[in-house]
Amino acid sequence: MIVAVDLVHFYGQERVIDGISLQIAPGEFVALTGESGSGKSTLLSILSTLLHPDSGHIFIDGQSMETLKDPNRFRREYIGFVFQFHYLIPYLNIRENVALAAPKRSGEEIMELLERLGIGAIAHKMADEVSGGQRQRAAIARAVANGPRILFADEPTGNLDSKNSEKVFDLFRKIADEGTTLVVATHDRRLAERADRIIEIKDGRLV
Amino acid sequence: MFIHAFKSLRANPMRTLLVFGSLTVSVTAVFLINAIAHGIVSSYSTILRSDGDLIVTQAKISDTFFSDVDTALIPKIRKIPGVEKVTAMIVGASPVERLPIVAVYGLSPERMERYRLLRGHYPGPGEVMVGRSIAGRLPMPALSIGDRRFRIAGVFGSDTGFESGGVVLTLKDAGTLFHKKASMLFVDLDGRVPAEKVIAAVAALSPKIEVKSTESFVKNYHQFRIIETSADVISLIALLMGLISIASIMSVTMLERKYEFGILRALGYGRGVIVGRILLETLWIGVAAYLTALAAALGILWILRRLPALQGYVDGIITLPMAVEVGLAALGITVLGAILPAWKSSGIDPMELITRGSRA
Ligand SMILES: Nc1ncnc2c1ncn2[C@@H]1O[C@H](COP(=O)(O)OP(=O)(O)O)[C@@H](O)[C@H]1O
Ligand SMILES: [Mg+2]
Repeated sequence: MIVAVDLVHFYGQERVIDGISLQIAPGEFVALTGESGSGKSTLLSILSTLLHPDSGHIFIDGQSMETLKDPNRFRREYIGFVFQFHYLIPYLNIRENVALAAPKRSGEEIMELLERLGIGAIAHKMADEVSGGQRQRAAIARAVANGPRILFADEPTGNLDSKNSEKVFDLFRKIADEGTTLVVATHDRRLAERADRIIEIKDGRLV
Repeated sequence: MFIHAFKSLRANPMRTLLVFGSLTVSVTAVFLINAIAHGIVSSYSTILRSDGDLIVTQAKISDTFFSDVDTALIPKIRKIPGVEKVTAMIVGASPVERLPIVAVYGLSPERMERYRLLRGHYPGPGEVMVGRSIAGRLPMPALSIGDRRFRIAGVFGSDTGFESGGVVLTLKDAGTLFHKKASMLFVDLDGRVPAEKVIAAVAALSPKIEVKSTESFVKNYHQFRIIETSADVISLIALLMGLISIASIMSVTMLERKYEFGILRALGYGRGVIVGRILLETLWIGVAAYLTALAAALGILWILRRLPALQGYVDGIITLPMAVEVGLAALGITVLGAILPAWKSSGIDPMELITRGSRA
């Protein structure tokens, strides 16, 4: 359960998040939509603890994010994040990049995950040696490798063609059905329809 | 993590090479300056220590070159109980033939035997023997020292660069050259009277002299302290230059790598891990640079020792404690140069690191 209360965030003078409160139930698949620049990425970063809001409160499963004792451990064990850009580490191959997110998993477990996402064959390639779709799947593999309770994704299909976008959303649907909470920012209404609920924002406020 | 560090280094050969290069240059400089300073100090100490338990010099003199001691004191010192032998030496420097500066030693006869004669005989009046390092560069039967001519009596060898690159003549001839009786006197003790008592008795002979045990003389010799302090200061500057270049290279790369650290933070890695990863990378370079610098310094010293123009005077020595000390200093600058930027850039929110890093 994610509970956000009155979140506010500024970039310079710009009030990018302007008093957002929301709740997301465990296992829910939520799509965050809105025009470019409406604040989707910023909200996602704040909800996922990767960015401190200027004010407001976040509770995840009853735990206040302000009083979190070990945020690193929380991120390691609770959260997965698929960034808008793949952000794979360039000097590591795909398998090593994914393994970085789950140091406790064995090599076979990581390979199994890669196979499941259809990128087992490129496990030993570097990020710049594979296609955009494969990179994005590697980024998703990295995000789910630690078995997170909540998976955040920011425009995960932004750089993909429609066929690959469909595949990614199929995958998200499956992850959600397995009980993971999913919060996905996308400007693609058609894909957003496949979520349990759509939250739309405009100029940093809920619509 | 070891392997990751290695891969990161290999992926950025330019950055790796720059850090390696600046570290190697600065550590080599530190090695050279310390080795040469240590060589000078240890060569001259060896000469001073070679003979005699006490050293008598002119009072209030900072450099033995300027010391002038009256040899009329010698018979008086010999009469002091506990004294076994008194010898005298003049240390000077003068142009010899085409060589612009050569160490010149004037010795009382007993001191001559310390020098290993390779050819000819020990010098008498009007004669010199020349050190092995410069013998080949001097004309043969006779040579000029300053404005006077001497016959070459022989060639000698010595393990000390200052000696084997110098010339030796009688105390009297050296006295005429340098207008003094002796630079210093060496007193051997027979051990039957405590050294302090002998020192006091010798010192009482004249207010113009200073008497010290050889060890305390060498330890407190002002010129040595100046050389060592200068070496320390230059080393510090060389290390600082290394530190600054590493830190600046690292902070530029930190900009490029912000998103990498942001990702690691987002994946739940703490600041310590990130700093550790960077540290590991630079430590690889640090170790390689240290070993390269050590080899380079040894090579350069080897060449300097054999360079005819230097007459064997530059006889650098790298001792084990020096190697350890320089190693620790190199480690220190590697760690500092790497940690500071990594620490600074890993303290911000992960998302800010990621977006700023990618925007930059
Ligand atoms: N790191 C940043 N620094 C300054 N302004 C930013 C930064 N990130 C986003 N913004 C601004 O905040 C607003 C919301 O951006 P964002 O959350 O990325 O929206 P969206 O993801 O919906 O496109 C935009 O006006 C954007 O220019
Ligand atoms: Mg966005």
